[in-house]
Amino acid sequence: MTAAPKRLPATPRIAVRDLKKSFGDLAVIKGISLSAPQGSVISLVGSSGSGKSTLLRCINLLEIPDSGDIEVDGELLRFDPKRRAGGIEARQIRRIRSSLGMVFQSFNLWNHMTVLDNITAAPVHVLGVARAAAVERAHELLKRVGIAEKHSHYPAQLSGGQQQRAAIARAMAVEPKALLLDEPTSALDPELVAEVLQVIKDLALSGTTMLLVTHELRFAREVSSEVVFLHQGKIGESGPPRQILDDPQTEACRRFVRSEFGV
Amino acid sequence: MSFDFDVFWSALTSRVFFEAALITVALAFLAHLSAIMISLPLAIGLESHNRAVRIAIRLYVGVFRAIPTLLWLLFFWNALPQFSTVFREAWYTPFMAAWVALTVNEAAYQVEINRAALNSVDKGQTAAATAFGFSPLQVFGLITLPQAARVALPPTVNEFITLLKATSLASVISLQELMTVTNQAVATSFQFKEYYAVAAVFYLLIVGLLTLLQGRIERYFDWTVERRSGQGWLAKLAGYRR
Repeated sequence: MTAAPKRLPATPRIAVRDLKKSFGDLAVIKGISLSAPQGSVISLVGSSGSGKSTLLRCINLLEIPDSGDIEVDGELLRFDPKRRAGGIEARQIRRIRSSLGMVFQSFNLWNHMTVLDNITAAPVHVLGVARAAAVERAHELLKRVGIAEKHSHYPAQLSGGQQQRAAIARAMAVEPKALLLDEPTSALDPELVAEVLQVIKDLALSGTTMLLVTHELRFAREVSSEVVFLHQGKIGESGPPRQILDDPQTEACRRFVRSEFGV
Repeated sequence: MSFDFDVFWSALTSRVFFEAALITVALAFLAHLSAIMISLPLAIGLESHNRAVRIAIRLYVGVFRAIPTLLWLLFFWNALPQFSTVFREAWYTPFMAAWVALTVNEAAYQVEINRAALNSVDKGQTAAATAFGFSPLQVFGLITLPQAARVALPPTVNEFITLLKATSLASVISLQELMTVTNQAVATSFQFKEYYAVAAVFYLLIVGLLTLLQGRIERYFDWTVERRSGQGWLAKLAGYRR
């Protein structure tokens, strides 16, 4: 035996194996596998209709996959195509959902709640965290995303960038195993994109595991540990960001990168 | 002919008119409350995947909306006791009959208001709650219902005012509400304008107070003003200032 102990392979925060999803006759995801180790930032890129948003919605079970496996921090879900909801119990579906933080393209902050109530809602009502503790954590998170003074405002009183930062704080409040971001800057005015990207970058640097659907390829190159290029419901290419974005191997990926970068 | 102010004033401050006004308000309030409780599940049922459920609700709304309130009052007071002896017992008072008649009638109107209000809630709002692991009941109670309530409020207050005045129809089944008492006072004294004025003042007062309350509730639902969070809704309602 050597002196250096062999390190056990850590459980990935999210693992997906041979996932498939159709809407009626339309196969949107045709067998996708990927793994997100702790602290990794995986960017999902591809043209619209490539299945990247559906993949994200499948992972937090907003869509129930037809078949395949999803594993969240070691908890395995095996979808049975013959059974309703893939044969997964409603309670387990809710538990998986509550262990992941979701950030939507159109923010989807709850209009009738103040920013603070938006952030404490899931911890208090789903995870059973004491209100005082949830409030304290919410204030910390708001400070972290740079809108500490906006806690008593309603979403309608905030700019798009501030709303999305509040939505990121809401997603982080459940202390998620991974953060799922679905085109978080696509609905923002160009001048507001940078402030949101900065928040995402800070979270990435501090070790938050992320799955990021994005069209911001420059940003993806900067923050990602891995870029996955989806093409027609399958993984077209995946690897380190520089390889995928600067030196794509397939024609489809080359064409996509060229059209996105505009060169 | 001059206006006999003394008669007007003594009727306005009399116990019998005050009690009649209370019966009017209580009937309208209870009937609307039960109508809303019935109409909410019906409104949800209208979005059901089950075709039979949707048709049954449509049928209910169609029938109960088409037939005049006056006929429903007469039916529940005069005709229903002919179906069963249960409705000939002491508990079945004119108030009970009026309550039932106004409830089934009002529920039919309220279904449409509720359906429109529930549909107005953005799908992204419920998707976000679902994504964070809220149960279907929590999604409904914490997200859909409060957002729909804001939309439903103005037409619902309108309905309440209409209902409040419709309670006067219950004079045909001798319920001692405002108009019945007014008509009785007029029948013995022939002082029409004095007693009609008393009834008018009571209706004005009730609707006026209600309008003030509506303003309060609408400001509570105004989600564009900064506010301390964590207060109960009642505290917010009572203590809120613009």
